[in-house]
Amino acid sequence: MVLLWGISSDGPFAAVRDELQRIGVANRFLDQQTLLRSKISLSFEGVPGGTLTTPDWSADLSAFTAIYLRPYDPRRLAALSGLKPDSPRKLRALVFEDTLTCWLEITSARVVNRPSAMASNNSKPYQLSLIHSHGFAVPETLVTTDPAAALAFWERHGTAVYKSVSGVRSIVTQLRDEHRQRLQDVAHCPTQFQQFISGSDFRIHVVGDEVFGCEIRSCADDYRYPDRQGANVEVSSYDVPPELAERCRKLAASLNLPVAGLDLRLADSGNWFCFEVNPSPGFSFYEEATGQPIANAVARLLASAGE
Amino acid sequence: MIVVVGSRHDRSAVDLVSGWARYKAALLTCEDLSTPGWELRLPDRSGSRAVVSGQIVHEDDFRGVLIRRPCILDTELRHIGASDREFVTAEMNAFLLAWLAGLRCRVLNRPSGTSLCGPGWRPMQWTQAAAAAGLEVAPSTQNVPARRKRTSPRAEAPPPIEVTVVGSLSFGAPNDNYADAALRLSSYVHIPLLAVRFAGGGSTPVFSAATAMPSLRDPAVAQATCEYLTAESVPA
Repeated sequence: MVLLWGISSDGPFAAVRDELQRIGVANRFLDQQTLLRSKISLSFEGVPGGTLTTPDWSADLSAFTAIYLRPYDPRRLAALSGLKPDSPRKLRALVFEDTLTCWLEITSARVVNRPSAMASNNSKPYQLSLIHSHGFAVPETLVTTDPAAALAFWERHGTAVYKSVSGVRSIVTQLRDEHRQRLQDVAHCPTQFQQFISGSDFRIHVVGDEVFGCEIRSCADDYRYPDRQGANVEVSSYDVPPELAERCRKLAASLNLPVAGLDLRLADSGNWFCFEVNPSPGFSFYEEATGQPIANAVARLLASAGE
Repeated sequence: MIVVVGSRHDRSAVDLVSGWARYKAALLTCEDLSTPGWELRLPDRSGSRAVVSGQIVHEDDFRGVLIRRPCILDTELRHIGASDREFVTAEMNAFLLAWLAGLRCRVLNRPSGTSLCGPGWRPMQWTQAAAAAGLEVAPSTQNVPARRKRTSPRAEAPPPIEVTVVGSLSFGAPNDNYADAALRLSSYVHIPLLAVRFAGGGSTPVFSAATAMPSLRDPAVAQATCEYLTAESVPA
C-alpha cells in the first residue's frame, strides 16, 4: 500500500494520486491540512513500527511499502493560520510532522524522497559541489560578502547571474547596470554569483530507471518566472542521449533521490552543465506541455516497491 | 589556526577559544557572516577565504574547525532588518553548510545537509543507527498527541552512563564494554566526536541516546579534541 502525504490541490501530487487510482494501486491519502486532527504512534524495537491515524482512516505503519510526499512548510498551512507560534496546537502539529518525518527516515519502505536526501537542495553551493563531484560541469561560482570581489567576478566573466544560496526566494537574475549600486549590500550576507553559461535549457526528470527529457526555450533569466520579464516559455520533448541519461540516473542515485528533476544547460561549447537537482520536482508543468507520462512512472515506481 | 564555529554568547565555545590560544584559536560568529571578506569559490576552492573574529583568513591557514552550533537562529541576527531576517538566516545557514562541508582540513563534525554539526538526527534515528551498529538498544516510542504518563511511583532508575568519543579515544566509560560500544557507533556512523548515553545499572551497555555535539567541559576531552583537530594527517 502507498501512502500519499501532501495537499490535494498540488499539481504533481494530484497527478500521482490519480495515476495510482487509475492503475489500481491501494493507497491512503494523508491530507496535510488535517495534521491537527491526525495522530501517530511510532516505535522502534529492532525495526520501526506504529500506527498512523487520520480523521478518515487508521493504518499500521508497516502496511506502507512506499510513500510519496510533497508537504508544504507547515508554518504556512491554512490549517495553522491564526495560531500563535507558541500555541499548544501549533506545537502539536509541528511535533506530528517531525515524528512522521522521523519515520520516513527510518522506514525500510521506498520513500520518494527521504527528507534528508532532499536537504542537499537547501544549499545551492553545497549541492553544486556534489553535482561536480559526479562529473557534470558546473558554472564558476562565487559566494561572497565582498562587493569588490563580486564586481571583479562579474567583470571577469562579462555576464553573470545571482541567485539565492538557500532554497528561499530562489530566482535567477542576470546582473545588469542597475545592480552596480546594490553590490554594496552583499556585505550584510553571503551572496551567490555565477558565471552565465550561454546555451539551451533542459529539464531532465529521473524516475527510478526512467528518464524524461524536456527542452525549454525562453529569453527569461529564469524560465520558471517568465512573467517577471514579460517573456514566453516553450517546452518540448527531448530524446535524452543514452550517455547523458545514464549520467543523470547515476547523479540522482548518488543523491539518494529515486525521483529528481535535473536542470541542465547544453552550453554553446557542447558541454552539459548541471545547475541544480530538484528533489521534489513540479513535473506536472512539463507533463502538461509534452504529454510525457511522468506521473504514471512515479506511480509505477511506488507500486513496484510492494512487489 | 583552529576555528570554533559558535555564538559569542556560548560561554563554553568562548572558553575553548581562550584555552586553545597557543593554536591561534578564534571564534567564527554569525556577525562574521555580515562582514566583508568572505569568498567561497566553486568548483575549485583555491583562493577561498573566510572572516573569523573580524579578520580575513585564507582557508589554507586552517588546521581544524570545531562546530558548536546546529544552525543559526533568526533571533541572533539583530544586526539584520526584521523584514529580511528570515531570508538572511536561511542564506547564512545554507552558506555555512556549503563552506564547512567542503573544507580540506579536519572538521568536527562535518555537516551532512540537515545540520551544521553532524547528521542532525532525531533520537529514534540514533537508536536505529545504534541497532544497526550492533549495540543493544532500549525500545523507544513516540506518540502524538502525547499519552498521559503513569502516575504510579516507579523505582528510581540508576543514572545514565555517558561515554564521549574523540577519534579513536573514549572518555567516561566504566569498563571496556562501554568504551567499545561507543567507539563502534562512532565508527559506524562516521562521526568522530560523539557522546553516547547508555542506560545505567547493567554490565552490558544498552544504548539510550547520542549527540554529535557533546560537552567539552572535561579538560581531557577538550585536549583530545584539540589534538584531533591539529593532527597532521587529514582523515579520508
